[in-house]
Amino acid sequence: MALPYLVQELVTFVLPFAILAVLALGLNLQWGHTGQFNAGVAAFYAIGAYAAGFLLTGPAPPLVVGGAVIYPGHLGGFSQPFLVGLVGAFFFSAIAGLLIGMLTLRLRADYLAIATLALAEIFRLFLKNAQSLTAGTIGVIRIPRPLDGLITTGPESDAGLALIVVAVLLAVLLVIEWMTRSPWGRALRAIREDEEAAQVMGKDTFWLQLQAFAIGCGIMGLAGALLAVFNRVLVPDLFVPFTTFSVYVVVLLGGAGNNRGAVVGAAIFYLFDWSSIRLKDYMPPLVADRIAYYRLIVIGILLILLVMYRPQGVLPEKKYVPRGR
Amino acid sequence: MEGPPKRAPKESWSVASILRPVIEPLARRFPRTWGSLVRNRVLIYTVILIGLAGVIMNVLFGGNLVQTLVTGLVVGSIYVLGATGLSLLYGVKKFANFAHGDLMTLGAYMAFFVNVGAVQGLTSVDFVLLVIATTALAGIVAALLAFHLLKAFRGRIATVMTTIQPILLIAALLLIVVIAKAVFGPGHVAVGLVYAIVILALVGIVLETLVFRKLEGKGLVAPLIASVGVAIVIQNLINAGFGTDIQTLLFPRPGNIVTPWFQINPVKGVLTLGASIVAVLLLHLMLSRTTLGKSMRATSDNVDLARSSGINTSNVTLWTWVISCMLAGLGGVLLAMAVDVRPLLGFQVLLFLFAAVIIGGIGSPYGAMIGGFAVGVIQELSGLLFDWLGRPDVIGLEASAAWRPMAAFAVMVIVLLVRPEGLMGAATRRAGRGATLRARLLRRS
Repeated sequence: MALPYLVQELVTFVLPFAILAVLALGLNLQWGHTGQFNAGVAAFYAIGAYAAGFLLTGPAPPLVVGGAVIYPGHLGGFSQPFLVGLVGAFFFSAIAGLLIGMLTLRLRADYLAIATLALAEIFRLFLKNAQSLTAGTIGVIRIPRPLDGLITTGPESDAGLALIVVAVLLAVLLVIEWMTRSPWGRALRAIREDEEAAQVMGKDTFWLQLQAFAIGCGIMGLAGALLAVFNRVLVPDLFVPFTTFSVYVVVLLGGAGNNRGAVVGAAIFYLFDWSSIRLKDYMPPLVADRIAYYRLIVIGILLILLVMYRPQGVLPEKKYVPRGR
Repeated sequence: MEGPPKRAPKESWSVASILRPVIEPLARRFPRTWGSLVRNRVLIYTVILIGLAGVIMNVLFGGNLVQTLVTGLVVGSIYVLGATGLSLLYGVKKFANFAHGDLMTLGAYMAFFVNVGAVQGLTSVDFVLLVIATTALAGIVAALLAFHLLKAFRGRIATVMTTIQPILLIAALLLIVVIAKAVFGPGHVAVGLVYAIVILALVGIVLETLVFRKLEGKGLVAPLIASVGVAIVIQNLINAGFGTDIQTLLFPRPGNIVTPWFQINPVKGVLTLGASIVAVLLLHLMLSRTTLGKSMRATSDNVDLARSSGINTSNVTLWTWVISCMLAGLGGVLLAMAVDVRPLLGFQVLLFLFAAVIIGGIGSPYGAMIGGFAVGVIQELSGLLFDWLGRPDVIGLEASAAWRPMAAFAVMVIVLLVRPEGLMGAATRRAGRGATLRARLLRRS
């Protein structure tokens, strides 16, 4: 049974878009709602991805043929079901966020950005160089997908995964929407606007910030787990600083502080990516070779223009008023 | 940045008090800047700490300590150029410029364009694109400058001076390009260097006038995000214009000078170190002697006060961009000579620049000079540690050289967490403003 062409096209769009949207929702909790400038998104994404990769794969010992190391091997061999990978990814990223947040969240926004960016780069170098743990630049390979028992290859496998990924996205969106509408979410926005005033109101601002940071990081970890099963392969260079910056473009584009905005932002951002890939076939070779760079130039200019002229994004943050007053 | 020279504190006994006979004459001789610098206790402790760490690591892990220190200073001298520019800009504009590394890359490619392009001939497409880009850039800058001058000349005499000085500087640089072309021939790397500096100065003007001036008063984060956008644009303009291949500059590559203690390359080592020291000295003279420099320091200290005493701060900001970008251009070309020319050249050192700036105390160009050298030395010293860890009889760390950047980043994060005001923040701290300064640095906004 072959899927219709349109469905196949839709699936190639939906999968990366939904993963990006989950990532953006995590950042939106930190940056949009709480005002934390976390420039280490890539690291928490990577922690989730690698945690899921290790949990899901079978044993991966080093492969040596005739004295030459073909594959350095990686941690793992747990062969756990997908749900365990997902929970593990959330858990490890959230723990990492908790630890790093405890150290860095007292810093001012620009220092926080520099510190988290540096920590993310340290982590990427670690992934790259600790070859016996992470298989270095070759990466974690052969990560199984949740529906591999039913369908293993082709567009049907992608379509099945797309359903799961969209389900995760909807669940995350619902939970975050509920959380940010609750008094807890209001307290976060109060901290963003004026931390001292929130303290005066009796809020333990540091602990609240730490919670928001850890949960945001955990959600980024979820996105990492989805990336792991989507890609089936994990290499350290998926987690370069540009990954972080592109998530910022998504959140700013959609509207910082608006959860649905983050999803819309991801859709617009990935639509742009996707159409530039499709356009490539119709361009003269000189342009086609460079279309990736032109796309990024446009994204950079878009980022500058957004900050200058529409910092509130496509869907501006809504003012939540508690009901019953 | 620098307050008036301060008297050394009265202490019963400390390392600083032992060193005082050495330090005091120096401080009296150069009271303006170096006075507070050599009396800075934390700075002295840091230098001693790094020295001690070096000796201990040398004893423990082997290796040639003098060689390590010399290499560290050479590497650090390039970081110094980037970091002082970054810090200068932070002082005046109060934002961390994430595009600074890519401005260095741009400088490297501009030199590459003159240097290799003139010798080998670029492909016609690249050439046409670049000529169009350069002409457009020059046109935009001319228009912006004309507009700016019309406004500036209505101001007071100090405003006029601060405008004329950098224009004279750029004119002098253009003259040097012409002279260098006549002396060395068109494709010489020196011509490329000066050309890169001129182009970067123009880019600085464009960035401030078109983007960052409009983001003033929108907090810390808006210009930071915009600078990320600028970084992405520059990186990909380079990717599209020059391709992603790793290229090399053409310049004489003599063998190393070998001394009993260490060896150093006359071009990559001595020349780099020399150029960096000359640039730092010129910057120091500019900051301490010229109207522009004094206005820059005043603006950096307190914008409102500077403005109310008649300084045209928007003008000062513009020229801070010019100087910061020129330093980035120089640093970028030297970096390209030391490593090679590639699109991520500068972005890869950006975090080292931040490390230098933060270790030195953000916003203080003098701190960034010290910080730059410190980062270079720390990086090389950590090499001793990682090489030792990499020995099979220790823990057999794989690819031990690849771990080196981690040491500098780790030191930066530790400095951020323990002492966010940096080394040079110490002078202000002692003056009794410490508590408020620290609070200001730690407060989120």
